[in-house]
Amino acid sequence: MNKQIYPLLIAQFLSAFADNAILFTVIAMVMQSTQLASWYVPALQSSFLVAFVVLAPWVGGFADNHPKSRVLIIGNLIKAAGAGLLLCNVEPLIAYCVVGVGAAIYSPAKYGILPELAGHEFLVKANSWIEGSTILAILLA
Amino acid sequence: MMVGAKVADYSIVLALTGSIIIFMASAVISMALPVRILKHQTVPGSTIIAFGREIGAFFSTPRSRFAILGGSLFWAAAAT
Repeated sequence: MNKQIYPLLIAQFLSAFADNAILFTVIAMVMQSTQLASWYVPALQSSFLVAFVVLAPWVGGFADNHPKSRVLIIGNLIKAAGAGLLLCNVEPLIAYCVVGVGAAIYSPAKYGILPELAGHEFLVKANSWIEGSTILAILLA
Repeated sequence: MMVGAKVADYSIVLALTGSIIIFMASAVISMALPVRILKHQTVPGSTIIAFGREIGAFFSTPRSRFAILGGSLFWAAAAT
């Protein structure tokens, strides 16, 4: 398998790890706050997912029309900006939605770049490595 | 292990700062990936029918069926 896939595996592991660390952090923020209602945690998860639903028609084309390595960088920077907004005490629903926008942009590029790096011969193997690194990151974070 | 959860319980500021650093590290590592745009194949006819045909291919062998169902169960469990 092409050695260029290893940076992608590491980048994906780190990004998925931070995605889940942020989810737990936001939930911890809500749990520590006495002012927030019980519906707030489901609303937070929805604010993350709504970005995927709303942006779904465009993010695939965006990844196709730009170098996917650059799309991955943009996705990570947007996620970092969302985490920065949380750090600055911006409304968590808005800040976590920004993290969701970054994740929505990141997702098609991470899978779309696989045929470019692994070729069709190793596509299934490369895909399994990406999924494995994602699940490992989720379980660890 | 729940490392993120443990750090968040210890300090939210530390967890958020750590997350930002990890996102930035991921972005820096992504710079090592090749910069190129490959022309993607255009699908003749209806894209929805082509999508259905490609999804159907995932269920064509026992191993791919197992992979699809296993993956779906994992993500469904994560979502609930």
